[in-house]
Amino acid sequence: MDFGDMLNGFAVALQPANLLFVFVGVLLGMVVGVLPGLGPAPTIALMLPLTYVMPTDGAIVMLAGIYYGAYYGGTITSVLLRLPGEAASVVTVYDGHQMALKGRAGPALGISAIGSFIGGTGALIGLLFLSPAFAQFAVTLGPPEYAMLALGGILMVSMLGQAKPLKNFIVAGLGLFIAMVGIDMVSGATRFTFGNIELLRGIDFVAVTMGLYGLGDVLYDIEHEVRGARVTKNIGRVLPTKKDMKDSSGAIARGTVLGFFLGLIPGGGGVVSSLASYAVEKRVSKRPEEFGHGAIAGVAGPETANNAGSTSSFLPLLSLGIPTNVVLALIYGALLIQGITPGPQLVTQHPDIFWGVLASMLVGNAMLLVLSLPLVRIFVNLIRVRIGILATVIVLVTMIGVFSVNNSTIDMWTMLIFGIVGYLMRKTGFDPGPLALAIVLGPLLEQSFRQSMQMSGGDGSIFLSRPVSLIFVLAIVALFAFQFIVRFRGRGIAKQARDTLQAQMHGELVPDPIVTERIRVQELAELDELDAPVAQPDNPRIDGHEPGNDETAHTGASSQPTDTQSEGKTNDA
Amino acid sequence: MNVERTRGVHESEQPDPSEESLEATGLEARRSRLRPNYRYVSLVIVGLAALIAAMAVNYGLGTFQRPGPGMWPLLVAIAVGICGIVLLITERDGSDYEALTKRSWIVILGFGIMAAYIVGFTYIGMTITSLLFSLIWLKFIAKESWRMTWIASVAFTVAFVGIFVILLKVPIPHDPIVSLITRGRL
Repeated sequence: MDFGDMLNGFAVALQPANLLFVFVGVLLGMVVGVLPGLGPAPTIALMLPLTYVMPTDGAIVMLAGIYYGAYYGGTITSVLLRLPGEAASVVTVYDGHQMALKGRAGPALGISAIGSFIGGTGALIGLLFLSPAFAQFAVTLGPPEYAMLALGGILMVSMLGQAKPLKNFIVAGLGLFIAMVGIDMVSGATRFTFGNIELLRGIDFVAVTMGLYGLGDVLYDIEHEVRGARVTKNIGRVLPTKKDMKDSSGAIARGTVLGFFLGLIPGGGGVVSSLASYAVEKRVSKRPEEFGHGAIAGVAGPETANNAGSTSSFLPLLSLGIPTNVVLALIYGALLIQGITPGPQLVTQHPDIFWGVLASMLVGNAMLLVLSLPLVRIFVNLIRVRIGILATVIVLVTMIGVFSVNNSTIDMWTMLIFGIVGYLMRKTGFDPGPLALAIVLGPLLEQSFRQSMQMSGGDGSIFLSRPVSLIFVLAIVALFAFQFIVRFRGRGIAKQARDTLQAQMHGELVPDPIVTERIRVQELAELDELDAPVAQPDNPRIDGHEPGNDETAHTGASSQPTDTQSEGKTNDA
Repeated sequence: MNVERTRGVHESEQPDPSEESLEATGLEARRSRLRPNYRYVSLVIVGLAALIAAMAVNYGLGTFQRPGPGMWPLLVAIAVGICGIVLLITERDGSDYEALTKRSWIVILGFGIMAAYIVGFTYIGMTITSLLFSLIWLKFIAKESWRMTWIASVAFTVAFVGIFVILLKVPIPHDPIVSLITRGRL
């Protein structure tokens, strides 16, 4: 029974070396979640070469730690600065930041950490019951089902990505082309190598992703002069009150269940889970009008759901070999580097890895809880790191790192070329995310498609005549229809979140001036215009800051200004 | 002291007299002004799809019963081509596109420095190249002070040589400095 395997997983996760790897991963994740211009995907891409020299379980638990650690780091900047570090934290902006404006940044961050822990734990318990069924289900799947699963995964990630779906489909298509370069595994023919011997082994996944995410981001950021921001040190008390816990308990419970199931769906994981949870909480709330004005349930639900979703999304990755989002595609790449192909055999042949990774997520979440509450003030200051210095480190890490994978300078050039591709994609509104996923899923998709056609004697209806395959096709169609309705209706949280994300992509999202530390009087004058929309005449009361933090009171979240206060503050400064 | 702000605030307040007209109306105006000929992107995509389709046909399509090596690339090329055409027809506002600006030269400079790093890494070794790279990047791209540039460059170089060469034993191309340290000769 899997209970024994799960206990064994805890034994793996609690090994001192793995505890260290989880710790490093979580810490790194939190750091990059906070740092401007870095997210979990680029960081995991940067860390891929390092996983070569690490034990398998250590490598994967560290990367998983970066994944959910970054979500929490993103929460910190969402709450304090109105800048979601990455997509899963976007909805946290709406209520989390409003809480910060009311001097309740601490409880917002505290409830996020607590919710994340509960969500992760709940998802793990769910997996305990679901994984045997999933593993059994996985072995019954044939090529047509795998083809539809892989196709569904790519299409869903494209539909739900940051850029327009049509553009994402194109990017995914380019990823499929890149996956085709090299020797065709069925016929032995060479494709798209242009007579170059180096290309026979294909284009290295690590070089592509490090180029797209690492160098592409660096090139884009140096053009846009991204700088760090000054932030308040005033967080208020971090532990939520009893009333906060009571107000959030329903949201956390619902978020756990919702996140768990949405994490299993291709395209799901943290982002969709957090959006869905926010929508549900607003609907079931007795006081929906509070949402968008600092309702703690609007923070607790999504934060819980995104962690539950990111935990459960490991099940399709590890048991079906289907990464359901971009970050998991990179972790899939890391598993391949270790010589492990995720799929139905993984759960039975490497239960230590399967359960070890899941147990480590629980351990990592506990670490997050312990780390984040006392250290949040320190983490917040990371946003002040200057991007130029960070960029130097990123370029050196990517260059030396990509060389170390195959000891090949050709890979360095490949990476540089994809760095330019990544930069141009950002300039033209294309999101590189689907490309990484398509490179990973491309070989599986092509192989399954060709096998399916051979099985059916060239009859494409095989994808509709087999019940499970048909269900996948219908699911893809249904999700497509749903997405179109949501898009064309043009309302709701998904639209709002997409607008926020696009604003961030285009650099229009600015840190909230109210919680941004002001240094000079003339800067205040410059920022007056920006202050106006966020002033809250309905909630002029300043509350929640601790006396010890008074040295920053003139700058911090507590200084909730009405127009008159703003003037007074200018004089003070 | 360096006044730090994030992207949006910084750009809208950048006191660059040459871009006064842009400042006045902020980033949105800048973006709307700088969107020429974005349709070329769609055309490039359609052209690329056509090229790949032609190559795929060359590889041999096989039959649906026994797909050849060119079948799958052709299907993907058709799908991408259709998406490209739909994009060409339906995309009307071009708000996704940023044209090259005066600052774009810095990207070319950055690209050039990265390319030079690879050449240096291959022929004169990692240590000297990493130090030179950090110095140039921090001073001329990140615009740090000389003091910060030197401190960070030396720190980064020592850290990376320590981690990758000494700790992880990555077999880097011949590096005289590492040879001097580890074997006592260049």
